[in-house]
This record gives sequence, C-alpha cells and structure tokens, in this order.
Amino acid sequence: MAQLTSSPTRPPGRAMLKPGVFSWLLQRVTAVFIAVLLFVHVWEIHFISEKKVTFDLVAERLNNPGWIAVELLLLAVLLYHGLNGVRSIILDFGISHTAERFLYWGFILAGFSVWVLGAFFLAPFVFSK
Amino acid sequence: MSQVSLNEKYTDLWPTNYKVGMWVWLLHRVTGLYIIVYGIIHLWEISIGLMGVKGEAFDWFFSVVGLNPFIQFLDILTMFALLFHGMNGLRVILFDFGIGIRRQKTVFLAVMAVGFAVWVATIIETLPFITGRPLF
Repeated sequence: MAQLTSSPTRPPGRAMLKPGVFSWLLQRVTAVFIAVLLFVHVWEIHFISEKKVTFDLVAERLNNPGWIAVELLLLAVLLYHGLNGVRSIILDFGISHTAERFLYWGFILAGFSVWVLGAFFLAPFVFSK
Repeated sequence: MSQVSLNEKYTDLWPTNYKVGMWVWLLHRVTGLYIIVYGIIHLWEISIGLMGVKGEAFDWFFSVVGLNPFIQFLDILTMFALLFHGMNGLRVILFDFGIGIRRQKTVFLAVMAVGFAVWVATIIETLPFITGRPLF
C-alpha cells in the first residue's frame, strides 16, 4: 500500500491511483446517468401517458427496444449507485478488513443478481404481444 | 490531564451542534436509504406482472392499491427524497469540481429552491388523486 500513497517526490497524478478513487468517480458518473434516466422514466410514465398504470400501457411502451434499454441501464446504474452508497455508509462506521472484502464481493454479487431479477420481471411485459 | 466528557471532546459531532451542512449530509444518507427501500418495493410491484392470467393481477394492484391515498402520499414523500438527494448530489459534484465553493450558501439555497419548485409541481399533480377531486 505504501507505494500507492502520494508523496512530495511523486507527481500528484499518481495519488489518483488509490483504490477508493474508482468508487468515488463512478458514484458521480452514475449519479449523472440516474438524474437524466430517472427524469425520463418518471416523466414518461406518470406525466405524459394516461394517468393510470395498466399492464397493456406498460407492455406497449416496452415493445420498443429503446425503452427496454433505458429501463435496464437505469436499473444497472441505480444498483451500482445504491449499493456503493450503502457501502460507504457502512465503511464510515469502521469495519474490519475481512468484513470490507466480504461486503465488496457480496454487494457485487447482490447487484448482478438483482439486475437479472429485474430483467426477468420485465419479461411478461416485453413478450406479451 | 483533566477529565473530558464525550460531549465536550466530540463537540462538533453532537447533534445539537450540527450546522446546516451536517444535517444535509445526514438527510442525504437517510433519503438514500429510503430510496433503496422504495426501489425494493417498486421491483416487487413490477414482479406482479408475472402473476396469474396475463396482466390481471397487475391491473388489479394498480387500480386498487396504486390509487390508495396513503400510497399516493408515499409517492410525494418519494419525490421529496429523490429531489433532495439529486439536487444535493448536484451540489456535491459541483463542489468536487471546485465550482461555487466560495458561494456555498447561495449554491445550497439555489439547488434547494429548484428541488422545492419541482416538488411543489409534483404535489399539484398528485393531490387530485388523494382528494378525489380536481385541485382547481
């Protein structure tokens, strides 16, 4: 770990290679994605379409590959952002190194599982026609 | 060295000494956790599409439970959580880029004002469903 910490003799750019930087940076990148995609998602469903939610309305919208892509991408970035956020809250309480590693891989596994589950939940709408 | 009580030692971390930024930091985390709970419920709602004869359970759920005034109230709460978390997150990102730090109070009030305006619009949209009659 010692060689990864910044020192006055190294150019400051090397300090960017600390492990937490990707977690920090991706949290910001996913935040911007969510801001855009969630606005589209909420606007389309609750303000533009009819003021009720029915199976056929959802199925009609998900007949379009673009909308399927929006929903699946939104779920993926939300899962990353949410799980990474919970991870930072837990890390702020201070847990052991072993627990940190379990948390890291556990959340990666949980994220992928819920994404597959979410895609499975969309199936009846996508394949209804 | 004299005895120092926990209250005196960690004086900035004591809730009665929190300034605005500390409450906002806390509310950012609380709204984040609330949004995760909402997300789990939302995924479960969508899974109803898998149940029974094509779309029947889904349509029943959204015509009965979805129009329940309490659920509509929770929708307004969810919009608050999303807008607060999103607008405060925008402020955090701006400060990461070094934008607006010298005018941090103005930036805070500006993002909160935008979020509040959108939230009021959401409430105006949602209220007719809660009261069962047009707002105006």
